[in-house]
Amino acid sequence: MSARGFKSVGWVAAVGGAALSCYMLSLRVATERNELARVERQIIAAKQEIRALQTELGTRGRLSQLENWNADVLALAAPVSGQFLEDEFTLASFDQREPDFAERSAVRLASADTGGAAAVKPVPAAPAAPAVEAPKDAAPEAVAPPIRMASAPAPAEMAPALRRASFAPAEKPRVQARTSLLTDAKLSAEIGAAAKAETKAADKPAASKRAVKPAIAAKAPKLAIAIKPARAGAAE
Amino acid sequence: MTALAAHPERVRLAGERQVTMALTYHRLMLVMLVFAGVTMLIVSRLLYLQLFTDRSVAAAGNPLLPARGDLVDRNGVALARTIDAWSIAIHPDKLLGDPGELAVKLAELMPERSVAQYRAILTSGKSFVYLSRRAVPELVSAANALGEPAIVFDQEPERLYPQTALAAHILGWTDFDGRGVAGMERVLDDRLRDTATRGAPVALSIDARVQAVLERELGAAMAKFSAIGAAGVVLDLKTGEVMAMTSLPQRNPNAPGKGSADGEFNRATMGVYELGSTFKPFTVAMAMDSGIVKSFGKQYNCSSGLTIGKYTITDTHPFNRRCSVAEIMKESSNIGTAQIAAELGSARQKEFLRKMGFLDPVSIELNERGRTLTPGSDWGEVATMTVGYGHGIAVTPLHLATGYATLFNGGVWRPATLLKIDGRHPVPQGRRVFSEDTSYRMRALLRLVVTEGTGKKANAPGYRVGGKTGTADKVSGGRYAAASVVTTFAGVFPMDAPRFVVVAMLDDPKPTAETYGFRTAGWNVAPVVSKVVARTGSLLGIRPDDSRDAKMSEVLPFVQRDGAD
Repeated sequence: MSARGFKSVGWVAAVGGAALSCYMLSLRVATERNELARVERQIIAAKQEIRALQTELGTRGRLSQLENWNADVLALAAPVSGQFLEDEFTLASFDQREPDFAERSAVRLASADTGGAAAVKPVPAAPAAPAVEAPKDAAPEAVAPPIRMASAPAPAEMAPALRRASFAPAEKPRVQARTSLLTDAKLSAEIGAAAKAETKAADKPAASKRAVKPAIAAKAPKLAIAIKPARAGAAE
Repeated sequence: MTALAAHPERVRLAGERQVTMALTYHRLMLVMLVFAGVTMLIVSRLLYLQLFTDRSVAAAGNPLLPARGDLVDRNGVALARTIDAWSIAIHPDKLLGDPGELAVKLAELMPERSVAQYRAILTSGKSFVYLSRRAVPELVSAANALGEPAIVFDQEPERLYPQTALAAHILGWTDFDGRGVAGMERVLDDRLRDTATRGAPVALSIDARVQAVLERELGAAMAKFSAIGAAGVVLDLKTGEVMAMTSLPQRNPNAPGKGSADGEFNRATMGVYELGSTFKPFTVAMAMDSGIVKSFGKQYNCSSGLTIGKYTITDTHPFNRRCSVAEIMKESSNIGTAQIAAELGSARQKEFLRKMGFLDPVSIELNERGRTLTPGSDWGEVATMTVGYGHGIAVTPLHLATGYATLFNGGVWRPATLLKIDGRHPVPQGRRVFSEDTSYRMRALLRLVVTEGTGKKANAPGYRVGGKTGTADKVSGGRYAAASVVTTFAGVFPMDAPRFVVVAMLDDPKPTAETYGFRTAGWNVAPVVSKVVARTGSLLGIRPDDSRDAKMSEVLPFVQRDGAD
């Protein structure tokens, strides 16, 4: 009698439990689906924001604005034909530093660990070795600039020149000085003033440029790094 | 009596009672059915919505699809985009605050109108007035902080040109409803608005960097020589793609309503000009193709003046001797070119010009195209001679660029295009105008003009520029106005393997002290071409090389060196 009574209760409990778990399951699925939809909405919102930011960036960095900065503030000029290098040998010919004793000796080969043999060997083969009278202190400046302007499409072959340059002891402080130079507001103001003076004396641009360059160099000797390649290239 | 009278009624009532009850049940049932039916309807609709509605993102319409398609340059730099911009408007009839007070605050926020104007708007009683369209978010939040419920904010799609006035004549602009009304916006209107195609940006053929340089250098020359206008074209001569094209002055398409009416006039495709001596290479090439000039050494009589009927053709630098074809081109001799043109004859000249498209409006997608002016029915010997050196025929600068492209790409005319040439838009089939041999031999001739002739200032070291100067008196009111000229330089580089045509034109430049009082093309517009080539050559994939040049041995033997020049 009592068992029969409990049987129905059991049925009800079982059916109720099953229904509840089914419901929980569907609820869980719905939650996941909502979460997915939310992420999708977030993705869309992010994409829209990216587009808006791209548009804003493009508008702020519009070409006419860049042109004003390049021409009026930084006084940049287009590279001339001599600044485009034919090949890696032309690039290497810019290296007029006399190899010191440590570099010439075979010991140097052993100590260069990362692809050392390959890295050092081409150096003596550089065609511009005979420039003996080049002053030693000018050496790092003469080495680095071609790397900056080189658009030569052969980085693998360029590597020796790069690596060798890094052996020079004066290398590290010089690089730091150059980055600090870029962030120096006073100097950029000076460059701006010099550029303005240049645009005023606009009758003979080439002549005035020559006049401005030493002025900048005198104020900030490190800037000679940036200017030298142009001359070296033009002379080539 | 009354009771008796009432009784049968009551009996009757008792009889009808069942009927009434049945009717009531009937009605109740009906109402219940209606209720149940409506409920079922709602439940089934809910079920249907629950089961069959696709709630995924894709079904809701792509929210990333812009209201109008983007325009980009050949490298993907955005030139025109549609953004959601805020607009601020007001319902003056629903104003709650004090109009006088609000007008002062609005004038502080948006100073483009005065306090009196704002007060007039606020008291007008209109239902809707825009206060500011395309407002920046800061302004919107500031206006919101005023707390006036009548001020409403809305986000609406706005066409933005991120590069501002860059390539304004090519892009054109849209009206307030977002329909293109000028330039490529008008040409591509259907494609930019169609839901199926507007998702992908349309790539134009222009290179924004080259365009910026061309506009900058032309603008600088225009200011320097106080010219009233300028036009420039850089054309890929192999495909006919316009790399850059500008007409100055131009207006900012972001605010098309503001700006001069002159800024709406596209000098590069709409303005027709007598382009003067830049036509001479065509005449020589026509003569070479027709077998009249077989060698650049052919001699003509270049004495002081050539009299035809009542006209006398003169030179600015007369040779006063016999001269070769190479010298005629180098010193830009009208007398010599007129004789070559006379030998050619009007029929052949007309046929060549027709094949080069010089007798029709220029072939490009834009709607802003001008009709060329030709001698028409009066194409006699005098007209043939003057057309030979670019007078009596008026074409657009873009005509000239496509003409030079034809002359130096091997002799095949192709229409200019503003759409990037790629898989979907292949290079159009051209039509042959000049022979390949003529095209090849003209290279050295035009290089000579830049290395030794009138166009020395157009030289860009290493880029092997060749080209021709042209200075023509401007026609105004049917007469040549001696006071104003149009100077043009049509250049091609690199001359040993031509790739690009650069045409620059100044409208009415004035002489300056720097040009020693000259206002000829060699002094004012040739330097523009030099600067444009020097700055954009490497961007266009041409490496400057001092060791290469056109085959100058073809022309140099025919140039007589006299000590005076």
